[in-house]
Amino acid sequence: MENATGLRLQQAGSDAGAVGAVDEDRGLVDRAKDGDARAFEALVRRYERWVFTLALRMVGNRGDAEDVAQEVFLKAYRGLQGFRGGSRFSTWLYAIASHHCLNHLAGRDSRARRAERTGNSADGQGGVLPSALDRVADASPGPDAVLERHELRRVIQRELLQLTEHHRIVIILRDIQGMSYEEIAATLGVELGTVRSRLHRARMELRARLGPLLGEGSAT
Amino acid sequence: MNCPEAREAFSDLYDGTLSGHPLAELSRHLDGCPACRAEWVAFRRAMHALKDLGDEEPSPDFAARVAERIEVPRWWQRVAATLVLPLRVKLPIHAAALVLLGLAGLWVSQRSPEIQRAAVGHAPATMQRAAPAPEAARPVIPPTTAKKTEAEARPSTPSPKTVAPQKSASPPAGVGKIEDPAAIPEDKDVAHAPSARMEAARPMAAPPTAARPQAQGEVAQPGRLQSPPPPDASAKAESTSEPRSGVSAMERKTSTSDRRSADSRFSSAVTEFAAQRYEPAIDDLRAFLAQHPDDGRAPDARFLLADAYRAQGRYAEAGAEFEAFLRQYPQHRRAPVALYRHGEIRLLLGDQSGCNTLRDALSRYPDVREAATARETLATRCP
Repeated sequence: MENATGLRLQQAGSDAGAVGAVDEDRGLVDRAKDGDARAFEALVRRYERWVFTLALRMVGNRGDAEDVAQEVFLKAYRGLQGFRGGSRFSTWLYAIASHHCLNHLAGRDSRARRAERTGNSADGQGGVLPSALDRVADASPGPDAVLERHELRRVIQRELLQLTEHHRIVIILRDIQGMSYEEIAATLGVELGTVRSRLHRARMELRARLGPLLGEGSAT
Repeated sequence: MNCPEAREAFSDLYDGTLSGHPLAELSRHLDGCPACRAEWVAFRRAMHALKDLGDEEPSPDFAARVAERIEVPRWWQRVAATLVLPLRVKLPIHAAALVLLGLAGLWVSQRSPEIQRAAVGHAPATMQRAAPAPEAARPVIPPTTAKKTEAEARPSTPSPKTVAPQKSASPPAGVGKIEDPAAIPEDKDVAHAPSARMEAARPMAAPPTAARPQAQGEVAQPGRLQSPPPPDASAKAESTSEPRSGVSAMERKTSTSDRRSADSRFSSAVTEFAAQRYEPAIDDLRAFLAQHPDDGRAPDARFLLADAYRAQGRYAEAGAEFEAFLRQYPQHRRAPVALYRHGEIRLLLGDQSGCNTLRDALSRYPDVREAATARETLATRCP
């Protein structure tokens, strides 16, 4: 329950802070539309982290993620003249990014994807000590704790890649990027109920996959 | 409420969207059902672990590389793009433009007696064969005024052409609709055409990844892993790409006061590694190993270095570092894990000798957690 409260507070804070950001975005968008490449570069810097994180969690490796993220910004640039400010720039960009990630994955041959997963799996180094999370949480950043956490992240990323693309993007947008259900529905262009059901399925599947790795049964 | 119903509500419970009666019912069920309680704790753990993945930074020059690929539209392209507006705006503008164009054409033709004469004399021919018309009109023009008339006639003859670029310069179909997220077109030119441009731009645009071609070169020669370079040699190889990266022997001798101490270098490396900023972590680790090869933390540094390369997908370098680690510290507590990773990396590089490395690791260290993955790998990749 305390998580939910925390989430709401966090959202309220980000909403308040977002007002200034929206104005700044608008100014940069206007300048970029007038051919100011630096203004667009400033927009890229503002959103590169968000777009890259989404791309990385969706495709699973940094090289492809950088390519995908670059294409997202190029696509946004080409469509900028058509963006008339009816929505926030961020909403518009997130929609482009989400659709581009999904299209990128859909474009891959499913056999190639399967092979890639196997590759990641072989590379991913399997298990994590049962109580890894607990130790990582309060560990001083010694090499042991750092390596442990590093492995844990690899495992989570690997399991994330096992979800279907439509489940994966919803869980990433919600639980990593912190978007609301409504924002996700608007970004993906789907019904709220679809977001809710996909998110639940995705979470349950991920929980089942991560369960043994995170120390199932040692729960308190 | 039964168990499946309770579990169906976990997502709402986690998001805090449950309240009132459903929340009370779920709480009651969880109080009385240890299995669902354990399941709920496991669910929350998984969600926390997922959230812990956090944000990732792209390479430092990401925005600059995007900027390099951007083609700033010329003024007329922007003007043309603004004409791609809703019909209620666009139609009057286009209508006005047509009227103006017509008036301009009329004005020019009235001011040019030669054109009038040509039009009167060769009207049917001009209609049928647009190109030869000026040629046909030419003999009528007195030689003295020929130059002037050509200059005057130019604005009128190309007038249809000046319209043409506007038409062709209109942005690609769909741009006007892109604001509707669901209607974003997957234009193929984004996916394919720019990638060629990107290939061309990348070598110049991405200095931090300059070491990658070297790594790919090594991939082609799996035998390279058998005799990894001494750490200093590879440090030297990288020293050209980043000022911080390699530390030459000469630099080691010149013990300057501004050199960072072993402590700060090592802790900086660990901090960077923890934040998943592998490039600076690698730089720090290489510098640490070059400056303090006998430090007690050198084995940890070597292992972290290998793992940082692995995290970046630079498997040839990672393999070389794991091999160096195993050669230098065969009795170290990280040696078992290093051996498993070395085997996995060999296989990733297409080197089947990784199978034997994994079998060796399994026979020597069957109880470490890497063993399970190694067994899977052996079953799928080592027939």
